[in-house]
Amino acid sequence: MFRKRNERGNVYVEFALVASFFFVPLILGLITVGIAVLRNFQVNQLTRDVGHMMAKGVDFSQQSNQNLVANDLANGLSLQANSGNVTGSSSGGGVLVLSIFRYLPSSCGCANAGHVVVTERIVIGNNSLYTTPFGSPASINGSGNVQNYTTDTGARADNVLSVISIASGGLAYMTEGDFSFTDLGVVGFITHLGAFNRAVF
Amino acid sequence: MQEPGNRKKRSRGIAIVLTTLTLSVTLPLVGLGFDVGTLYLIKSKLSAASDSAALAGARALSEGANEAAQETNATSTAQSFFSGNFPTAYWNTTGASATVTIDATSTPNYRTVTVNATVTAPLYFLRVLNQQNSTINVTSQAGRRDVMMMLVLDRSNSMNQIVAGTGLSACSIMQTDAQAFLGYFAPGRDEIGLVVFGSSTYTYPPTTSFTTPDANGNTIGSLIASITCFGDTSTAAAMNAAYGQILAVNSTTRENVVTLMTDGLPTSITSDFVVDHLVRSNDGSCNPTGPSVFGGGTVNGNMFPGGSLGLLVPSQPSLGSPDTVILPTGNGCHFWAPLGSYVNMGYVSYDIAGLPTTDYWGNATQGPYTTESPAYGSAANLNDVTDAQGAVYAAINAVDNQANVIRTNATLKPYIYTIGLSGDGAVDQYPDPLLLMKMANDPNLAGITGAGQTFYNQQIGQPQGLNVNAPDATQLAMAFDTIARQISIRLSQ
Repeated sequence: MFRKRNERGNVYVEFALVASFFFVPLILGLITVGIAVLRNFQVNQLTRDVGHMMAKGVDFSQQSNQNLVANDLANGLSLQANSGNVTGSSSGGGVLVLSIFRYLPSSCGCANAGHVVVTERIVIGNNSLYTTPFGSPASINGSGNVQNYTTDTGARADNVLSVISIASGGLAYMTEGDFSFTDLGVVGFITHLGAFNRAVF
Repeated sequence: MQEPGNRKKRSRGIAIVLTTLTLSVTLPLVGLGFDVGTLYLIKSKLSAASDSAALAGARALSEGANEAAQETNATSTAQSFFSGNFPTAYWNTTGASATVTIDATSTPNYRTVTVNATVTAPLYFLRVLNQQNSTINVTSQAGRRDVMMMLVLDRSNSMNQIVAGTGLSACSIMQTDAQAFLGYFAPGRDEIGLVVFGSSTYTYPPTTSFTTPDANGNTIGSLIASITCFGDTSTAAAMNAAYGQILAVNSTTRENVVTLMTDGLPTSITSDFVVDHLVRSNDGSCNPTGPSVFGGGTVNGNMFPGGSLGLLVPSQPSLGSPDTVILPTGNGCHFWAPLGSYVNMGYVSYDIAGLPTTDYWGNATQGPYTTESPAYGSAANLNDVTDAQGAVYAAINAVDNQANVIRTNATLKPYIYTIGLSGDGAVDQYPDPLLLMKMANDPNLAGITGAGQTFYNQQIGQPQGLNVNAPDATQLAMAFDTIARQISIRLSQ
């Protein structure tokens, strides 16, 4: 009788053991990856929406528009709005780099004629997370306008043509988003989760 | 009654059964979630790439020497932007492609770019149901409206200043940059016209063939190249001439735009002056009944040496001659200041009774701009012709009111874009950024406390353009480029 009573519940113990070593990690992993995929999706959507708005003339040098991005579109992504600047900060878990490129035609009669140049750049969020490889202009004013982009060789960004083909005189509006999900992960298994996306309009 | 021994036997291995049963439910659910989630992610990316392609294609419709070339550019640009936004083998997809269709006829003065994008996405867990992959399709559409733009260029005397470090005059740099600006518009579709002004104006009517030589062998580009800079700054007359062309074309299907480049304050007004005498400042016989231009200066109440002092007809038949020496005998009046010395305004005051309350086109000359702007703070003095600053005030008010007339045309809804070039001429004649912002109804007025916000509130609901300041002529290329970009944004939606 005593042994039989002991054996009662073995099923549950065994199932609990299986669950501990298999189901719980599986479910935790699924939740973690699921959230990461959702955030990845959100980053894709964010860069797409911001790029689209920029191509339609929305001015993201305005604090109110930066707040809209950080607090609404990027809700949950730990993107910090700037405090009245267009160069970003060192806080937060993500960064957006917005750039407008122009392929200056040869008729420009300027030093950068025949080159793709960055004409506007606005960084929102943690600028230590990502540096764009597309142009490094010498001076950008408070509205994000690149100064002297017709002559500043640092404003040249011909490598954009490796991403997108722009005709002479053409424009491209690019949004790059880099986010680090430091609050996600399963110790020892899943670390360094994050997302990067680039949208060009 | 069940025997304990039997139950024990049946209990053995039941955890495995339970686990298997649980997995048989869980794994398909996980698989379904994974496959559907992946498809959703791919569709989102495909949709973004398709949207991008349509918008970029619509924008590229301005690039090319004719409609066929523009459509070829639009197609290749759309496909390039699609590829750039949808990486090859994204999530192991295959066969990503975009078909671009351009419709140039269904809507007057509007071309649409439609992108149909498709991709084949692999399935992983749903293969157990014999579904190896799934095809995703999305469609996006954008369009570009044709524009009717009047380009208004200042060729006043101050444009002749040599720009430091270039060896070129501001006039010469402006000519190069304005010609490059034309390259951002679509020959065969967009209508582009030209107004060039000093003391008087020269008008070339808008045409879709703006890059093709006319019967006289002129294009708008070649006309710009032929400009010689001379005279005062009759900005109101120039804006009126541009508006006249917009009214003449009378297109409700195009985007109507005026782009003004000026390097100074308006210094001349055109009106029917009351003439007392034709003696002291008139250099020949004349007929004062037509509309005339009065030019004012600001240096110690004197006119500049050689300036267009007096009265002359407001429009020029060509750009080939200096704009003050134009009068056929007996047609209008020409008053001339001797070169090489300042001429006291008393010469003119003897001949002209005073400044009119409106210019030739009915624009008020006393206010309200100079009374509302902190830089001026008073109405124009219309009673004293010897007050050169009063003439400038009158000219400023006239151009502000003319711009107001343009912006408030509720049928044609013209947009005004302005470029203010500083750095040449006298400092006190640099363009007034607030005036140019008000003329353009620049949304940045809202950020200027005081007069800026007042103007912004007064003009809510009117078409919003943009003012760009060029601190010197070397910045003109960027200023034109910025305006071109803003117009492009407005046209391509």
